[in-house]
Formats: sequence, structure tokens, C-alpha cells
Amino acid sequence: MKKNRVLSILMYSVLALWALTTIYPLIWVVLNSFKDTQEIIMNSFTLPQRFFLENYQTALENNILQGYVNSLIISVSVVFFVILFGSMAAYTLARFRFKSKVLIQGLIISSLMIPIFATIVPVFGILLKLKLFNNHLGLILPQIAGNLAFTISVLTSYMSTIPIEMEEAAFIEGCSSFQVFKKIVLPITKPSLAAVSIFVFLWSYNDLFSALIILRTRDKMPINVLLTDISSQYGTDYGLMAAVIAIIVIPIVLVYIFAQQFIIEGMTSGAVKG
Amino acid sequence: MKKLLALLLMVALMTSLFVGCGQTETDTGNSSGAASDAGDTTNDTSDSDESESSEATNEVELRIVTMFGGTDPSTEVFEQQLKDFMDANPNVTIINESMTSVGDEFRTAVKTDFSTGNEADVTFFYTGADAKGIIESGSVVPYEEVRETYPEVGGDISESILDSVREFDGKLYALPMTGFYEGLFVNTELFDQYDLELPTSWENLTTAIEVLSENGITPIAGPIAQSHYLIEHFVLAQAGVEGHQDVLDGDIPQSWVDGLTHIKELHDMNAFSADAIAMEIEASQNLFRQGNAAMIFEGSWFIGGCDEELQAKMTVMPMPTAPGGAKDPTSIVAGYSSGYYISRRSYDDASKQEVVVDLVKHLTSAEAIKEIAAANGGTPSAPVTVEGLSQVALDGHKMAAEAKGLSMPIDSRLKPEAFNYIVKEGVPFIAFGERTALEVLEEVKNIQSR
Amino acid sequence: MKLYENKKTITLFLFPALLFMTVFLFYPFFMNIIKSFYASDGYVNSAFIGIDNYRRMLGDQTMQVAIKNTFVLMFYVVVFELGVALILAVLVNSIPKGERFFQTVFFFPIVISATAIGMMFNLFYAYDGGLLNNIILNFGGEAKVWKSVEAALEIIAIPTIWQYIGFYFVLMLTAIKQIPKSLYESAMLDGVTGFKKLIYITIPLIRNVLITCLVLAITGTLKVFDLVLVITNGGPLNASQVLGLYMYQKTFIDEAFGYGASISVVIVAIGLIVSFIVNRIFRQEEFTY
Repeated sequence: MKKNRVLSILMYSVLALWALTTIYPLIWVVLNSFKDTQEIIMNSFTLPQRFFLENYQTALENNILQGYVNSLIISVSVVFFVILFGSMAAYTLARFRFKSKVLIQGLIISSLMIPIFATIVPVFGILLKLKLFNNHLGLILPQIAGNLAFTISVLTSYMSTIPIEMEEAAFIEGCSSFQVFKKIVLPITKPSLAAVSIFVFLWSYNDLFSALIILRTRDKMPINVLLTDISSQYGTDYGLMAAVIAIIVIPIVLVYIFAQQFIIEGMTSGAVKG
Repeated sequence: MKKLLALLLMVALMTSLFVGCGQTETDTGNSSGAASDAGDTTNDTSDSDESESSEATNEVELRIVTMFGGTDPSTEVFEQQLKDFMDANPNVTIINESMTSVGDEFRTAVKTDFSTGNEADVTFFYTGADAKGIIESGSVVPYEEVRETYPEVGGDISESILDSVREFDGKLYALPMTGFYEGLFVNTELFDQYDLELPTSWENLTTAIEVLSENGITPIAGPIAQSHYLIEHFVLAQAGVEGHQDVLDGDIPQSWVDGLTHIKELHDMNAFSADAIAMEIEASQNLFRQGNAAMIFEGSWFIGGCDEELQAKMTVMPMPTAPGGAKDPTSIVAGYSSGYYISRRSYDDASKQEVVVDLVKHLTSAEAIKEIAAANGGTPSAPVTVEGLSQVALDGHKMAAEAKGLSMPIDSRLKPEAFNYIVKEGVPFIAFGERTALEVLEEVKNIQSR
Repeated sequence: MKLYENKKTITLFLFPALLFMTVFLFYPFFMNIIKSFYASDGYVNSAFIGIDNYRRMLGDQTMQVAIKNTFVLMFYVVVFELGVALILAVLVNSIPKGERFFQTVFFFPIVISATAIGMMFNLFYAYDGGLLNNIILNFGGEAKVWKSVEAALEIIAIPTIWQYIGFYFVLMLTAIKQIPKSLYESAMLDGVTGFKKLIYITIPLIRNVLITCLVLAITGTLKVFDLVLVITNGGPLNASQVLGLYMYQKTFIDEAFGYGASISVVIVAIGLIVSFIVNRIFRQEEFTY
């Protein structure tokens, strides 16, 4: 029994230590958002001398609610379509046999490597011709494409490890491929779908580069672009930046904590029994 | 599955065909209506505006892009100027897509817009090398042409300043608002503390470096990792204005080699801080602003970010001439590097032409120039006096006024890739003795001539 | 099985995803490849120069350093990032309580944008007033220049690795959780417990996901740029120059689009080759439970 105790304590210590490194930065950002820049430069790792609210005031002066709404519209749409198209494609690659499978898998892996700035200029040209400049859809479409490679890769590897018997049984009972997909495969892969969704949402939410080029007017900008716009100036206002980061990050942390519930439930219920 | 592949390829091809056959001139949502007259703008020009337009007063929508966005010091002033124009012309809506020029997004966005036919009606952008492509593609209209119909456009700006921003074809494409100067900023309190003479000569400079570093003060806040201003000043110190303007299309000028080598010499003398090699411009600015460094090579925009207490013990002076250098003691790096452009497409649009020109007139009036200059500390392009400036800002303007030679920065003449080579692959390696200035400049010449 | 050969299904299921990727990824990248044969400032000036860009790359010292550094970084990432993530996943899976807490908390670094993390680490590494030096000075030591030529690569490796451990952790944990408990039960009956359980049961069964993680980590390293940009910008003296950053600099800062495009082609090529090798070595068999 003692050996287990020691092991237990050891495990918890390791985990706690790591947890410290992951929590501390957030706290640090929040603390610094209450300091003015000079104080941060001199002493960024102590408690703020007093609660300096001006950073938040400056940041909030602009219509940030619109920014959140925009972020939501964009990121939720992206996640929805990525999961939809991605899971369909992953299912095909995980199970089906067909000649061009290797080619398609190769294509997907290679697109994992394509850096965004290699494609931004042609993509921008395409969007212009489709008249999607300064339009949410103009940002959503390329983001869907950009996230599909990752999603398909990850989902394929999860799906390929699901026991095949249930699908076979359903098919024998007369279900079509679609039904098998919808009623059997999707529910079982829920945990991985959830995990992937979170990441896709995050990347869409934090994407700065393409958003800056495609969306130009403040009323269309997602929150991170809006706030970056606000916080850049001659020299750097670290206090403002910290407040900006806090405003961007806190909501999503809350969302994640909330969404965690579903992931855990999904994970524990998704494990196939027997 | 061959069929599958074939199907996909066909779709892809069709999509790209469709996309490729689309018009290159897309109407990006600008509603065009007949232009209404903008007769009562708030500018100081006393000449009367164009005769009232006889066309119907339809809605006009204009897009404008400038660098007075984000928390650029001029943003508030600029937005007010736009508001005033819209108040005076209720049928005109201006969509403001300005963004700060700090970072690379502004330059990228504007250039991408121009190259994809999506440029705004009025753009405030850089002149020189950055504008070359835009001008060559005919996307902007020269003011000679505009003035044939609207002779007073930009009338408040000094002719000599307008001349200084003429492009390679001798024509004027941009109306400048404020200019800048660069110089050696000095913390006079520190110099007094150690009984040092101001660095008006090279000898004073090196003496100051020795004394200051012995006493634990960083002599020069110099970001070796982002040495743009160091490069400008050290080359100027050796080469003088004429040499400074060499574009490396002939033999490598010895003055440039010597100038850059001086950076190494000073580096060996511990003129820079211990972490200068990894320092970026902001960090070195902070070093000076906190009083930990006695000197810094910066520009007119630097003053605005220094608090009042510091400004009271600062002054600015021209770079001292290097030993054997060709520089006149008063010459500085300065100039006007940006201005208002009118897009060709906008100007040729009869329904917009007058409004666009009126907007530009409003934004380049003496009053407007004075407001922007007061906000960003630059030198005004119109002969107005800016009020409320601190002593160091006045010193700066005086220095610019008395300079016998003004030279635009090197990065306005060299390709970005070429100049950046000196910054990234040049100065750090030279300072550490891993490359010679000559080697570096030869590669720069290579890049420039590609 | 008939179910898995239905061509209609295959086409329909693959079509939307492939359409998106073709229009917004493959086609633009193809244009990019074409551009790599030009000297272009990306906007208006463009001249065909054949394989000149690639020839230039052969002699480009910075490129060689970048390639070397990228591979070293890849090694660090695979060993430390995947390694630590795996350990954390296994640990979290084994503890009776607190699982949810750790899962939530390990995720945080990913939520913060790379630029913000870069800024934060800048304040750690700063010579004057940085956290590390402050701690050292407190203990009577001497302040160190952290962003030195010797240490720069490791300096940027740390935040790069640290940020995404949570990502691989989640992927691996999800995979571990999918292993049916029954398998563990029968293993226990056979006397396989603890460490042996880990090596012989857990790891093999999440193999596919591990390989995917490996591929993701490798390709991710090839694209790293914003963290490095903010912390060292590739310096000092190119000590922390990596391929992704070099490509970004050439394209957007130096405006040498043609050359930048050729670098991106090389990046993709390297990625493909390495992934191919990885797949060969760890040959995936399709298996299910």
C-alpha cells in the first residue's frame, strides 16, 4: 500500500508542477493588465500596485461586443463545416477501399505543410473575384480549407480504431452507408470530434493574419483583430496589450471549461463496452 | 478511382476558370452616384471652390486608407477631419480603413489592394521604392493632371517640399503632410553628470563612450538586431549626403565600407549594451527613455513617446562627421516619405471625381497639416507654425531648417530585400567580426541589381 | 465488405472536403509553385527566371542554417513535446481524482496566441528586468544575456514546445480513453500491470494517433514562425533562424515573393519526404479492437 501512496504522490506532484506552468501565464497576463506600461517594464512579475483600470477603459472604448459576435459567427461556422466535411472524408479514408486512396492521403498530408502565407495572395485574388472581400464568408471559406487537413488526419486515425462489428451489423440489417455513418460512427467518435472542434475553434478564433488582410472595416473584424488594431502604436503599450490579451482569452477559457463537461462525458461514455 | 479523380479535377478546373474569367475590375461595393458639390469644406484656402455641380445630389461613398489608425498619434485628429468633411457634405459617406503603419500589415494590405484592383479612392502611403510598382501600373493619378482641372489642390504645401517627393518620372503623385528628421538624441543630464561635451564631433562621441561605459551607463542605445537608424547615420557620417544616396550600381563606395566598419569599432568599445545583439528598436527606445542610455539614434517621432520630464533634459543634433568623412556637420537624414494618392479609377469616375478631389483638398489644407504635425511631431509640409512644442522638438525643427543637406533614408532607395540584408545579415555579423563590411555590401549590390 | 466499396458514398463523402481544399489550398499553392520560377515583388513586377531561385538557395548560407536549425528543432519537439505529452496523458489517465482539473488547465497555453506568448517570454528573457535575471540577481548571481548566439535556438524551442504540449496531450488522452476497459481487465488477469501495461498495451493501441501526432509535430515545426519572430526574429546572427520564419521574412518583409515561394516549395517537399519516411518506419497496419 505504501508503494502506491508514494507513487500517487509522485504522479500528482508532476502533474501539479506542469499545471503551475500552464496556469501562471494567464494569471500573469491578468495581473499585468492592471498595471501601466512603465510598471510592467520595471516589474512585471509582482502584484500590481493599484488597480490601474485605464488599459481596460482604452480597450473597451471601442465596440468590442461586435467583435465577439463576429468572432463567434466566423469560428462557429468554420467548426461546423470542418467537422461535417472532415468527418465524412475521414470516414471514407478510414474504412473504404478505393484506388486513389493513397494519393488523396498524400495530398492531405502535404497540405498540412502549406504555410498560410504561401497561399494568401492567390486566395485573396480568388475572394475578390467572388466578391467576398470584407465579407465574413471570405474569411470562413479559406479557414475551412485550412483546417480540413488537420481534422481529416486526426479523425481518420481515431476512426480507424473503432471496432468494425457494429457497422457491419447495422449494414446487414439494411442500413445505408449514410445511416451507418450517422447513427453508428458519429456517436462513437464524439470525443474525438469534440477534441478536434475545440482546436479548430481556437485556431479560427486566434487567426490574425488572414483576418487582417480579408476583413477591413471595424464592424466586420473579429475580436482579436479589432484589439490588435487598437493596441498597436509607436512603441509598445504593454499594459494595454495585456488587457487586450485578457479580453480575448478569458471568454474562450470559460467556453473551454464549460465544453470540457461534454468532452469528459463523451470520452467516458464513448469507450466501447466489450 | 479514376472517375472520382476526373470529376474532382474537372470541378477544380471549372472553378478556376470561372474565377479566372471574372472581371479584374470588380466593383467592391462602392455605390456610385452623381457627385454632389462639396463647396464648404473647412480648409483655409481662400480661393473659391469649383462651380456648383449641376448634377443631382446622389449618395457618394468613398474608401480611404491611411496610416492614421490604431493608436497612431494622428488617428484622432484624422478621424475628426473626416467627420468634419462628412458633416459639411451630408451626401458623402467615407469608409475609413486606416490602420497603423507599425508592423508589416499596413504595407502588405495596401500593396495587395493595388495589385488586385481593390485600391481605395484615396490612399495615404509611402513614396519612393514602395510606390514604384503602384505608379508604374498606372493605378494612381499624377497631380499635374488633377491640377489642370483643380489648380488649388495641395496649394498650401511648399513647392520645394512637393518637388522633393516627385517620383522617378518627374511627376507628383503624392501630397505630403508631415516630414521627419533623424538625428542623434542626447540625454543632456547624463552628459552634464560626467562633465562631457555634447557629441558634436567624433572625438566628443568617442570620449563620451569611454567615460560613460566606465561608469556603467550604456553610451548608446543601439539595437544591433534592428540597426536601421545606425546604418543610416553611420553611412551618412562617412559618406555625406551625396555618398549616402549611392544606390550601389557601380563600385562599392569605400565610404559605406568605412561607415559600417565604424559600427564595429564602437561595438568593440562597448558603446552598446550587453544585450544589444538581441535588442529590438522598442527595447532600445525604452533603455533611453528610462535614463539608462545617454544617446540614441532616432527620429522626430521618438519625442512624442518620451515623457515631459525626459523631454526637458533631451536635445537632438546632427550626426558628427566621421574621421575623413565627407559629411557636412549640419547634414541630416530627413525628408518627406508619404503622401495622399488619388486612385486613377476614382478620378476617372465622373460621379466621384469632384468629391475625391475636394476630400484631398480638405485633408491637405494648411490647417489639416498643422493639426497632424502637432499630433505626430513631424515637420509640416506647409509653412505653418506648430504650437506647444517642447524644447527638444524645437531643436529638432531648427536642426532640420538649418541643415545644408537633407537626404532621404537609404531604405527609400534600395529594395526592401537589399536593405534588410544589411540590417539582418550585415550589421550583426560585422559587429561580431564574422563578416566584413565589403562582403556584406557586395551581396547587397547583388540583391539590388537582381 | 460491400459497405466499404460503395463508390457513390465515397465520392459524395470526399467531395466537399476535397473541393474546399482544392480551391483554397491546392490551387493557390500550385500558383505559388509557378511563382517560384519568377522574380517577383509580389504585386506588380514579375519576371520569369526559371530555376534561378532554386540555384540561389543552394548557395544561400542562411537557408542552410535554417534547414539545420529546423531539423534540430524537430528533434527537440518530437522528443520533448510528444514525450512530455505522452507522460502527462498516461499519468492523468491513471489518477483517480482531479482528471478534469488537469485536462482543463493543461490546455491554457494553447488558448493564448503565439504573439502573446512570445511577448511573455520576452519579458522572461529580457536582460534588464527580465524574470530570469531578476531571480538570478536575487540570489546574488550575475545577469545573463539569454538571447545569445549559443542559446538562441534552445531559447525559442522552449516556448514552442511548451505551448502545444496541451494539444498533443489532449489528442493522446482521447485515444487512450478509447481503449476498452475490458482489454485492461484481461491484461490484469494475465498479470500485466503498471509499467508493462504501458509499454505492451497502451502505447501499441494508440499507435495510429501517435503517428499522426508525429506527423503533425513535424509539419508544425516546418511552419513555425510567429513565436520566433517575436522573440528573436531568427537572430542573433541567424542562430535561431528556421525555415518557416525565413520564408515569412523573404515574402513579407523583403518582398522577394519569388524566392519566398521557392522556399515554401522546399518546405512542403521536406515535409512530404519526412512524413513518408516516418510512415514507412512505423508502418501503420489497419487494425481495430
